[in-house]
Amino acid sequence: MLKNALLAVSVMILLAALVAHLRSAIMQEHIVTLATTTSVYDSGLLDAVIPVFEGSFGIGVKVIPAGSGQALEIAKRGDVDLVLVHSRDLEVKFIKDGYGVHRIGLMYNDFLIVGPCEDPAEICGLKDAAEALLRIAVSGSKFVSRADMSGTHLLELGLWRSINIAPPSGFGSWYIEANRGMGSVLRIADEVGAYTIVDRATWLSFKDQVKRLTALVEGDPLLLNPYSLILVNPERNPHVNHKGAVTLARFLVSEDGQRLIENFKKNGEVLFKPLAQDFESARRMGYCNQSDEFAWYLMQETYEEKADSRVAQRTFLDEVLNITVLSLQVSLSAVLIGSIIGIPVGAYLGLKRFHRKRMLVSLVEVTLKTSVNTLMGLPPVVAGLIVYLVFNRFGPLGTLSILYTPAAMIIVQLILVTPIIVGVTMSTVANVEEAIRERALSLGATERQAAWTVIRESRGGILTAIIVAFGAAISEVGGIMIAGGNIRWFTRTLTTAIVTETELGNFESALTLGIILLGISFMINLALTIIQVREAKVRT
Amino acid sequence: MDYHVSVREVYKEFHGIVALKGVSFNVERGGFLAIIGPNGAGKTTLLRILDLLEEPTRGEIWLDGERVNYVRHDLYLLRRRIGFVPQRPILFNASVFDNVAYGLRVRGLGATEVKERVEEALEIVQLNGFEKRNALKLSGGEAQRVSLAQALVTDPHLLLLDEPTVNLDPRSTSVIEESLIHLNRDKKMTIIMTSHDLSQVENIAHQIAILSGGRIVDVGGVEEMLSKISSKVLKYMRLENVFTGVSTVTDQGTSIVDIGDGLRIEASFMKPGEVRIHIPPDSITVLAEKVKTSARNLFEGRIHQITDYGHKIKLKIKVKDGRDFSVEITKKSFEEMKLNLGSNILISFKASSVKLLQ
Repeated sequence: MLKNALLAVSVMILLAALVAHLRSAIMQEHIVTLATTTSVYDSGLLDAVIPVFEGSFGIGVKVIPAGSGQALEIAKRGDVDLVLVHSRDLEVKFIKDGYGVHRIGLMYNDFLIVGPCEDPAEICGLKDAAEALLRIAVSGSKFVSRADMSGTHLLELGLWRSINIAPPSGFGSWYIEANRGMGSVLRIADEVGAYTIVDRATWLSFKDQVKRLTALVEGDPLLLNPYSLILVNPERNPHVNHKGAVTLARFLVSEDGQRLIENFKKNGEVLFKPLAQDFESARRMGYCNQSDEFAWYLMQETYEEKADSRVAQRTFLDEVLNITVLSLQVSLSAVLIGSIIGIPVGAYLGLKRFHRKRMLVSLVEVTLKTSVNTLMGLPPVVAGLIVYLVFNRFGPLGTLSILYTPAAMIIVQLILVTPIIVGVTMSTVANVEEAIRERALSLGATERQAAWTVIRESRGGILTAIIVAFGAAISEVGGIMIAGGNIRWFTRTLTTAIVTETELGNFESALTLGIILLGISFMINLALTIIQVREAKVRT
Repeated sequence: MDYHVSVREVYKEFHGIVALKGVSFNVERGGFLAIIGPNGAGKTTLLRILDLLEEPTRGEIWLDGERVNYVRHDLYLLRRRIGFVPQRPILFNASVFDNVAYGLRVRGLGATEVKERVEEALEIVQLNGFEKRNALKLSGGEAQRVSLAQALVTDPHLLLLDEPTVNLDPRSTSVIEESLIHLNRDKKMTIIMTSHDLSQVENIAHQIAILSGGRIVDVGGVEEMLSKISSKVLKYMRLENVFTGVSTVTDQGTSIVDIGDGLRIEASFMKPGEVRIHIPPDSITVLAEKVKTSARNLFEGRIHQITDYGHKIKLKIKVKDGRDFSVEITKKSFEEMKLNLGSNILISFKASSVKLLQ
């Protein structure tokens, strides 16, 4: 009785959580989605600026970190409302192709070429970045490239082009293609003693962690690094939150916004210099219409600023709690829905029917069973990819707007856990099946009643299936990273947070989250062991 | 004839192996048939066919004068008139109560009636008080009794049992035997069981069928069959108090069988020459001192083994330094007589209790 009551209560809690997720996914109008380059994201600037905006306007901001190229791709499909990127050529093309409007220079810093203190290519003190790269190539010194189509990578490629060098890729080459974020690239360069190009913000955040590297070349105008805001074209993607995007952009280019950027410091050093209202510098950096665009933003209708704006102070503990609760909600929802689908299907496949089925039916069964067994080994990233392809703006279900929401993460995990639940249920039921089913029939049960009895007798195994599925869901990272976007306060879970914190070099936070995840895993396995021990005792 | 169960020329083949080769027999309403035979004779297959769990490859099963039609989808309605106790109990991972209630619940009975009938069934198998125990945590004997309760709780017209007491503790064995006698005699339930244990069979069954190599080699009343049982069959039967000796017919129409060691046993049959005889252990009485008795056979002996079967006690008694007799007496009389290991006693049995084996 008590057990049933507990079960009912937990099911209700889960359903409530699920409804809350779906509602927050639907309440798009109060959320602005911003895709930003990783260098800005990793610097922590947005953590200082965005809460002020959210507090003042009552609008939530979802930030999706991605390389500049990737951020623009996401924006092309209308999955975000505006972008903050730094790759001039791509930006211009983006606007020319009609995907974006009202590009405005927001802020800038510069790139540096950093490398090992020994400086084997002898570039220290050069004022010419191209010359420095030429010396690196000629000396065959190691160089780590982001190789991720980020703004930094694109700038690097431009420099190579200017000296007519195509760096040789491949194993054993001095040119190392990392395909990673800036933080990771710095750490790789530090490990192997290589040169790399880094933006000043990331460099200031990381230089204490990469002691073997030192800044060698800076001050070349080619190394200036302006960041642009671009609105996604509302005519092309009518569903975007255009008004919200304009509100955020105008806040960022306003006096308040620019002051917040200027005042953002790390170790006492300014990371980004304001550019929005510095029309002269903007023109030099290629923003020909900066003053017009600035004026345009001032004239737009935006959401009202709230009078009693107060910035909610969120602590690390709040965030850990948020992340943990979200992880549990997402995984539990996925397992709950997966069980509702998977247990009946698994039971059906596990039961052998008294009367032989027709040929066609058994063929369908064989196909189904094979698919289930294959899907049990589906890599999480593939599940993430599938969800991404289906739910992005141009995907078949893009209109649902659930990409980069917890709902998308639930779907990814659902894809992963359902085959596990089906598979384990199937084999348990098949194992219990024959003797119990016959006993039930012998005691007067109908075929249907006998089947139900078999399922009831398989409950230990079915419970194991659910727990195994939950373990797989809670520890999954690749899939929810792709479909959920790892958005802070919104779709960041324990696993994705661990990845982010590790990337940023915040090993302490990463470890804290890791211990929480480990604790949850421990509880799961404890429950599993208790059930197995109990079942074993009963059965022998 | 209106038989309750009629098996007609039944063949059963599994993947080319023929388990039953034309089995035919009838059981009357209220009958009690024991099927004996060696392992692999097809006993279990036959019972599964009678429980309609298997369809015969060839041949017919008639229940209540109606031929079983395996094509129909409501076979379960026929099955609901039958109770089946498999050799090894197959219980659900639930309480004893829920296990026994299963058959009633699938028939859609109300909670009050279910409770009443489960209590009644548990009383028969002497497991009242076990209702809340998990059925999978019972001993083998207790589990088998739950299994019997599961089958009898629905008041089936026909009860099938597959070696119900094999490997069971003595108490559970006797509880099951008593239950079967009660169900058959008082509730007029038709019972078909398979068994290895001839002494059990002769105590409770009316009819014996011998199944060997997939065929019924012989079928008949218990008395008749016991006298016909060949030494070949005895090899796989457990039968106590079997002796061979030379028989001489007397003037009174009885026989005296000299089984050696100076032991002469009087029997009520008339057959001279070499004979094999059997005295059922529960037909022997134990006396503490010499009293007047009408029994023709009276021997002195000494108890050298006592086995407690719960309410029944089995004694091994050595008579005249040589022959062992097995004797079953009730616990009550065992306690009243204050018997001990090494007690000197007398055993007696009637001439009519001595069975002639072939």
